[in-house]
Amino acid sequence: MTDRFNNVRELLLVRIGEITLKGLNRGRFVARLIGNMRRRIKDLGEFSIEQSHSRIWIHSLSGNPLMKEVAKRLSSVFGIVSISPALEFEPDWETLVRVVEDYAKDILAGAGKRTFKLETRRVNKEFPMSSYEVSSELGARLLTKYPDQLSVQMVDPDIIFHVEIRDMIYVYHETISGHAGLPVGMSGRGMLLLSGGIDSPVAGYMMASRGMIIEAVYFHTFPYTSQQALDKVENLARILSRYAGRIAFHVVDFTDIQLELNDKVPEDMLTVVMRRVMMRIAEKLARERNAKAIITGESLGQVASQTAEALMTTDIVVDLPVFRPLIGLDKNDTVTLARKIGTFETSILPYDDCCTVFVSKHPKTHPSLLDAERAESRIDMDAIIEASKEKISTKLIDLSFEKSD
Amino acid sequence: MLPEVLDVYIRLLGELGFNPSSTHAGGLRALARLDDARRIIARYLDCSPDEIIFTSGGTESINLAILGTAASMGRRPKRALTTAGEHDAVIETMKVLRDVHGFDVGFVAITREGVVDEVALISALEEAPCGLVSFLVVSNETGAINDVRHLSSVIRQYAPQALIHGDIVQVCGKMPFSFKNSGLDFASLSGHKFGAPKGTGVLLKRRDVALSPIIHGGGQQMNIRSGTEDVPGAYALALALQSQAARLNEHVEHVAALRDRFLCEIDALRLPYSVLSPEGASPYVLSIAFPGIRGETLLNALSAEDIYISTGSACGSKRAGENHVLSAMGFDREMILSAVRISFSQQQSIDDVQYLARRIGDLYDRYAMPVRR
Repeated sequence: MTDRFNNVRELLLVRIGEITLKGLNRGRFVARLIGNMRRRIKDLGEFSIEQSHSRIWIHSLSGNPLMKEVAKRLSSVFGIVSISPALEFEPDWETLVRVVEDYAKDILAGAGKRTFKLETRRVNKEFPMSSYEVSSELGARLLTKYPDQLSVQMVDPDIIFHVEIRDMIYVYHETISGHAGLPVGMSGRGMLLLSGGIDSPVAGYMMASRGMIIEAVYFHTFPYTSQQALDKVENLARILSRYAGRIAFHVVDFTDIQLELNDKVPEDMLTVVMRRVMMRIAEKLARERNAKAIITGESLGQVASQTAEALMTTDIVVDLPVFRPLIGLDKNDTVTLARKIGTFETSILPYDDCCTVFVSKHPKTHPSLLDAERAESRIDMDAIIEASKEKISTKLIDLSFEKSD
Repeated sequence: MLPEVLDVYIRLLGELGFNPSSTHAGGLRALARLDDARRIIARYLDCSPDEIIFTSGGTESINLAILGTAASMGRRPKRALTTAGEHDAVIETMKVLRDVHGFDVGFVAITREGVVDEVALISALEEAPCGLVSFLVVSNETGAINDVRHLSSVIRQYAPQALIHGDIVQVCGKMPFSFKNSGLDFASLSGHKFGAPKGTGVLLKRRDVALSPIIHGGGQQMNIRSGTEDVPGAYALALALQSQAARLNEHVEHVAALRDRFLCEIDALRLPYSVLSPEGASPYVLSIAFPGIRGETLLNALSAEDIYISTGSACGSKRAGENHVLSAMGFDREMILSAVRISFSQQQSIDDVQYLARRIGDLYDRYAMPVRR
């Protein structure tokens, strides 16, 4: 297209929804979003990314713009509502006709019969035709040019040609949905308890969509749980980083702690105490990493350790807010989300995590605080938490520079 | 792979890159080698060279025998029997027979000793006429050995029209086998189980039995298995068989000694264990459970030390506690969860198995958890 016409440029038109409501903070939100976008497409070439008229406009500055790939990657950056690949040229009627005719030709190639309509917005009132005139004239020209393929349909047509007349004219027909939300980095940092299951990656996604930087902690219980189980969790973190950007992934070698708990905690309280220990370690880690909250994938009543009483007994051991974005969600809705973000297939791989290996047959579903404290009476909790510091290894996971598939 | 086989295999990959169906000198040389391979295999498995069909391995051989028979059943009844102790290759193919080809498929029970329950087999054979029977000769899970000749004759007696397929994947190179005397119509084997390259296998097919192809194309191998033959692979398989046969008794004795020594060492450790493999099983595989520690935990811990054992069947990554063969033998979930499968081979030494037993003892002490119910 750009080869066929001089002065016609490809660009991406990015809509940013919620951020535009941010009043005085808006500048900071937009700057952060643009920064996140830049990081995501850094390896694809040089781009100019500018904000004006409640939108972000992306032009390629290097020779071979991979606009499709750019659009695809950006669609997973939080803060973006939608993206349209568009053409940009000087506001001139004859150019507009030629460009749209040519544009239609590409879309119609091998496509058979299609219905269409035109939607014109004229912001630049110096343009000599009204938006109605542009739509009807341009529609007529298209019908003349492609009489066998195109027919007009006002409600729900196959193709909507958008024409926006500003200082320049913009033509587009495709709108790629983004994941909306707020730019990652605007809402502090959260420490996500990431297991190999379906829920916790979704919880991380949801908090990242509200602008949180995500760090993840996994409790590895080798050899009770396998290397494959650890690899699986790392892969989940990697998928999550497509949305959340860079993730610090902490692995706690939990085996000795688990053995001690097995030894000293009554079996029906094992899960609750195990979770209380995990929460304490996560809190300690969160404070060291300057995280403002702990994030878990718990959903009320889903399993024995997620009853209101069990959640209370785990909550109470930490002094940070615990965000549980799935707390009121039905499992089916969580699965739908997991499929949408691409973690589901990995989550259902059959490697045991510690929650399945060390599950007791008849856990106490409604433990009281006293139950929990009694169950921990034979444990030197401070020593365990202190010693856990030596058992944590951290790895940065950053998908920004890997090709998305 | 056996080192002596690897050498020849690599040389042939270079020298014999010709299509044995070509009529130029290179093609003829390749064809001659393929015929050599058939003659060698025929000698050691006591069959005729024209009863040998080369395949890509045990799974393909089994599929070809079962699905190929299904497509040429003639007037034989569309009812097939197999056992609960089979490898997945047979079980899944039988399900295709049932779900796609409309066969009535029955799974005959196995005993606590892991062999075919003869009473159950006879009553299944008497229940309705049967056109195909497939059974495992040596169990890949437990080493349990079915008396192939005896079972074949029982099947012939009660279902004279039935074709009989034997899965001899765990037999070849590990015990003597005569196709002629086995009473089988088909037998499937896999090259990599006895020192030949992966991707090599054979289906033995009695000469007077019809079989339809499941892979179609250029009509190679009597139009039963189309596709250019892998001459170096076929020849390597033959050589591996020859090499194993030459020292078969010596190998079996050594491997049996390894297994026995291992069990003595384990016994001396005074930790709880149950041998799930029956008396008189093939010494090459041992199914053993250590109640108190999960098989997977032991596998993971040993694997970190570069010692490789298995839980369940290595072919599938199943969920913990599921093993259809051990279940069919009547073991409960707890026992299956704590079961591992250890393979012994002639390359290992007494020191190796002593070390393994000691490591299992140490790891048990460290990781076993009392069963608290």
